[in-house]
Amino acid sequence: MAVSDPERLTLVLRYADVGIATYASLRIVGQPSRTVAWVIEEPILLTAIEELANALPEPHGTESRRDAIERALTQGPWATTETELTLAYILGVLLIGSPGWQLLAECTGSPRAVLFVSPSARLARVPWGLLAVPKSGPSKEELVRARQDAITASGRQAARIPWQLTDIDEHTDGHRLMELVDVLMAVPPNIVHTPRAAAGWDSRKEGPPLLVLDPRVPGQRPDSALGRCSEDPRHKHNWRSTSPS
Amino acid sequence: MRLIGSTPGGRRASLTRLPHRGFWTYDAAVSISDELARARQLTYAADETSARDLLLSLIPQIGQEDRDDLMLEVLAQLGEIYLARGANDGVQESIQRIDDCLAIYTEVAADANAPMICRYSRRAQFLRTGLAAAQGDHDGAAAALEKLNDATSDGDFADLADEHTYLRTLAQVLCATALCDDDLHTRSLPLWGQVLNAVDQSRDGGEFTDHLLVTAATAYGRFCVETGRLSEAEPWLRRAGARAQQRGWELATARTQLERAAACWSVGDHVSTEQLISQAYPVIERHARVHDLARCWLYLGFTRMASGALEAADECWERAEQHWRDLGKPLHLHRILLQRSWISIFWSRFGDAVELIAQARELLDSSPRSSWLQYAQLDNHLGTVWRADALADLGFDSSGDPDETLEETEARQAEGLGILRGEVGTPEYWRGLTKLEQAAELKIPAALAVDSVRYSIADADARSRWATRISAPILAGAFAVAWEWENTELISELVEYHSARGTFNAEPQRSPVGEWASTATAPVLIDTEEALSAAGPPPQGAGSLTRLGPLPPLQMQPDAAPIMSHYRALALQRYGRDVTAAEPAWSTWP
Repeated sequence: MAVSDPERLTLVLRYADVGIATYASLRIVGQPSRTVAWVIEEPILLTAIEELANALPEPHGTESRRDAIERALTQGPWATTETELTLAYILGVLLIGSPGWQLLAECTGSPRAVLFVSPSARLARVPWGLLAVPKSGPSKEELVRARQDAITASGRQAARIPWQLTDIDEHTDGHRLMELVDVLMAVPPNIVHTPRAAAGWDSRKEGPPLLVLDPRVPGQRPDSALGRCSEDPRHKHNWRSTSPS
Repeated sequence: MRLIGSTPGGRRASLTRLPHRGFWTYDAAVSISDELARARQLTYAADETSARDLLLSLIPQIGQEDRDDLMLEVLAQLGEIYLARGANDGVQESIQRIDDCLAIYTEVAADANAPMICRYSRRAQFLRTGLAAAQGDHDGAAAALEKLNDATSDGDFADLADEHTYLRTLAQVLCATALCDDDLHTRSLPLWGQVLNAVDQSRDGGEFTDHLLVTAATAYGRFCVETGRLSEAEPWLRRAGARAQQRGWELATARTQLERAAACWSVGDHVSTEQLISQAYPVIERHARVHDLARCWLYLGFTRMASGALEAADECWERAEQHWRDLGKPLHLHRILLQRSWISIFWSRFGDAVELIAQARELLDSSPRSSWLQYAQLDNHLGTVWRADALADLGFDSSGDPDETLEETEARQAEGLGILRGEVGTPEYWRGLTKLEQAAELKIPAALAVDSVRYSIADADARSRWATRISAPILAGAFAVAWEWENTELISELVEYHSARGTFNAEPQRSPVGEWASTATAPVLIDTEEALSAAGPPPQGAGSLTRLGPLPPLQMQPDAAPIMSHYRALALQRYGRDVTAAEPAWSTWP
């Protein structure tokens, strides 16, 4: 991976969910003084999760699987490009604080920076690369008020945020996080550092085979560059290098 | 089950004279036996005063009839009454008199009176076990219980087998409850296992069986609530409550209500808590059970606090404190002092809060059964005072004013948005930041200590209970302090530490009740014996993606020192928790 390019900035965005709040830190490896942090109060986090849940084809409550898929495809935020952008904007505002966007903006350039994201469990389904860069959003006061109203005697609800979304283009130019930096998921340190038992092919060759379905991509010739899923040039080397000799 | 019936052995032997068969009348003996049975019923109905008076009134008649077996029954019953009421001297005296009497029989006519000697030796042994447990002498209680368990030591009489089972099980309940009173829940686990077995096997639905069921189920229900096993607590408490109500045992019924209230509180159901306590309180007060009374006031204070009524909550907790002072149990007293300090915190009377916490610390120091966890929680709480003090300096809109009334503080809290209105760069601002640094110094080591224990627990359910009830609120407080301190480097390190284990399960992150609402409720110390005793090499579950055990040093940047070494060292120094695994440092950059 080209991450080892010494010229290339490596950013790490991590979220820590401690219940009543989720804390985020965004740092550049090797430049600790530029680290930024922000906090997402639980009602705000719940709002983000709720917005995303509307878009996903996962059944809500008594909804059937079929209805869930239909909702996601025809009514949910991902049904039209405009509502998709709106959701991407909302998630961008709620999940990445303005110091975060600021630092990301400072890191655009050549070679492209790479951003590793390690979300919390509750944020695991967020499509990070798609988040839209916001130009403006609700005021701090509006967010505080919305948060306060969402903390009730019966628990914490999703905050009702007074969005002004009639013209989404006023609030975002439509640039996505993946346009600023290469977005990758971070492998947690405990996995990275898990001791691995070395095992040679001889000891494994009697094991059950793993079969990989590799259908032809419709409309592509099988021998063309994109002819098969596994023949994506970006993946070619990975496949070959991990297959047993 | 038969506890009182015909005289065991059927023969008599006087302590002072040779036997005079026919000296007593059949009718008199039967009526005394009936009265003894009535006394037993009164005891079960928790009317101990009437039971005691009745028993004492029988003594002259029994003396006239020269029936030592009946006298032994009176002494044994009196001992049980004193035990139930916490009158330890009375228990001691009952044991002594039973022993004296049995000693003479053993000497002069052991064979002829073997069943009676066996029966009342066991009753005395039961009292000895209960007394040791009540005095917090858990080792003594365990030894006494073992002796009681030995069915054959005093002889093996088939008609005493049921009574033996009853005594043994009741003694196990007493020992287990006493352990839980001292936060030794883990040690009580095997006892609860035995108790549940015995309750499951009990056969007939007589009064003794019912009494055993109600007592054991209520006590076990309480254990479950305190250790966060709410779904298991519920059926036991309902069963105990139904049986007690059927029998008309009002105190036993009220006690199940109190435990159910505690369960409701721990899931944030304020309405049911209030309702159940209101039902239980008058009965518990009538029967003057001091510890349970104090617990009623504790929960009444909670529900008042939850509705913002600070003054009413303070009054409730003051009464709870008074009751626990009367009992003289340092662990309970230390908790209620910590709880009361919340009022001072909300009122911005930080000096008072610190004073209460200092008293609580002295009580912990004086208790032989304090644990590192209680000190970690206490330090965390002291950190909360520093934090609240700092926030007041920073213009926190919900901070109270020490010169206003509690009523005014209540109103201010109701209106507060939870934001800081102070100006940056003022002397107050800098003072506030210094106090936050102090708060971090207290809260972060405590958070690291409890969090590392959480990850030493191999059982996922137990780990989740520990997280919800102990480590999550403390960890959240540590993050909050770092955030308010505006210490980006520290937040970044805390986030790094928190995500170093990866995130595969959405474990419950926080208790459904606020931080103030759990200070005085007993913490969970269960399934964690190993976790608490040592932070050894990490137990690595096969195939599990969850890293258990403490984390090794974490290095965030190339050539940087490991993060949070200062706080990790403090955790070791203060609580003896080695929160850093002795392994090569992990680099945490990609």
